[in-house]
Amino acid sequence: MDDDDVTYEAFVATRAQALLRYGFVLTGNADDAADLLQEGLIRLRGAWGRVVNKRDPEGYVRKTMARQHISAWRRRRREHLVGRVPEGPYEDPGLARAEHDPRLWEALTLLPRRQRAVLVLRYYEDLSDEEIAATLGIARGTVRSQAARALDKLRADWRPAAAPTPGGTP
Amino acid sequence: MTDELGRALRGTLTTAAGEAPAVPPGLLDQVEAGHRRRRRLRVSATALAVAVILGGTGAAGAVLRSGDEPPAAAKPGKLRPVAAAELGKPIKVRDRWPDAVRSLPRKLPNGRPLQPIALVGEDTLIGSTTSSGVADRLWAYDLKAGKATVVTRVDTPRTSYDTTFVAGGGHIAWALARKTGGRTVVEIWAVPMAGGEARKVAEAGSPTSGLVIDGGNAVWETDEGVYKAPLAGGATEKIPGTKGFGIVSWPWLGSPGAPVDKVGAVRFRNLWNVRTGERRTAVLAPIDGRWSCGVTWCVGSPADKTVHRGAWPNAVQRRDGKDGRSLPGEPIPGGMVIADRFVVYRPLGLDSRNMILYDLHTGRLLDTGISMRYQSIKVSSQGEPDGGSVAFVDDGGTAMLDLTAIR
Repeated sequence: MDDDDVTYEAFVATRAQALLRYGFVLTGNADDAADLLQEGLIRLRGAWGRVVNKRDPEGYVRKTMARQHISAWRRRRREHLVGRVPEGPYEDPGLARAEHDPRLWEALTLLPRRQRAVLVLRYYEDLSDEEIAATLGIARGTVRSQAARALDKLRADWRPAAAPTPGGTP
Repeated sequence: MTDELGRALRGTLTTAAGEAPAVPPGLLDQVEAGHRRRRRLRVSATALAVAVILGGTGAAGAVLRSGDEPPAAAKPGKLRPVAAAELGKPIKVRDRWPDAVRSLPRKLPNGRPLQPIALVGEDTLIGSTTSSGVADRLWAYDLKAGKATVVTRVDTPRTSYDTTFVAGGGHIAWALARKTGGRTVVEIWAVPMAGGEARKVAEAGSPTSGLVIDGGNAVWETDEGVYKAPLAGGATEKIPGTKGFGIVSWPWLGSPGAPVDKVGAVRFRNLWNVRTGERRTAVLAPIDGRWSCGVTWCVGSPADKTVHRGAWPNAVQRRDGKDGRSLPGEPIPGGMVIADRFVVYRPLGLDSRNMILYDLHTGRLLDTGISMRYQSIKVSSQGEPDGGSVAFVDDGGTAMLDLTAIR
């Protein structure tokens, strides 16, 4: 019988926070992240038997969340798009603080969802272009072009904090 | 520049991830509700395990002893609507039956969270700890002395994806599902509660949840039938004629064992006591949904395709067709009866943050005083005739509810 749910609970208990973090960087705001997590877990719940056989329930949820996020972007309200700039890094010395840039976080909110998803999968999930293509269900060429466009946009708005632009205005 | 931007993106995303909010309390409940709304309901194994194993110790024993079960009615009675006013205010379990709820430590003295398996005697909590999501050790925690000892190490292979623990008959037993040669098999393991090395008792069948200890035997259900094997070692035996049956409440088996999500389906319609040979068939009022039965009671809920707004049309009825009630409110988790007497149930608009039970015997609501925000329900089975308890676990602690103390 459907015994797998016991492990399903354990999975949620142990992985929900990490998945919510992933949802947060994917969406840029807490509300959408919570929605996305819930959606991913509901789908996992329905597909649990199939998924555990693949031994990768987490991959399933992450893929569901990413796809759901990019497929939903047209019909969703965009009122959350200006994400809260994370606080805290200012009190956290060290590498993360040095490399964290609130302006970049803000700039990410202006990207279309698919472009943002590609960047998150590449720089947060450390996936290859091939893996990103499989995750989002798009061609590898599309991954490359979306990433390039996204990086161009960010580059236009962003300068490394530590390297002031010669000549003044960025 | 691109590298620099890439590095900045990594740092920014990683830091932002750390700023994500905490997982909201009750996430599992919300997911479960959403799952139901999607009409892909399968029986919640958590509730199922509670019903199966509690029944196996306490409730079934009571039913067996009574031996005066009325014969099934030829025709089921109608369902009587239960109005919210009739339910009244929930009775506070902690006040009325102070022995029924006990708070237990959530963590071992070494700080590791303990998943409860059983409370043995007054003061020994048996439980497991996990590492990377899989069980790694079993513990006996002497609550009086404040001292915990390792019963055994659990060697959970990386390929396993499920572990179910039960305690009884002086042993702790567990089933784990493991992939082997492209096939998934169940391994049954056991260790004496007093400690020692875990031994593999058997390896048979495809995975399911039902595992009980019956005296010196482990009994477990699989897709191919119900098996048993001596805990002390010995031949595995398939109980003849058990294909299609699941363990309802040992020694009661039921068929069909698998949940069917269509109108008119009755899970465990046919009941069979493998010890006495007695058989019973459920006779239930027609509903626009499906039923799931325990030994005495059945719970009805809408089938997959039905759309409902507002109150969820729960139904409860005795297997013999008597005492049917419609019980609108929030969905009964798993559609299962706990200890052959209680369902987790909440009428709409009830102003309480606690887990509420509906007592099928008395028709009263019971406020357990245990927060709804529990993360999981674990089962305690002491292998004693009256030893049925449920543990509710959340971040703050473990609450053990002894249902037999509710009179």
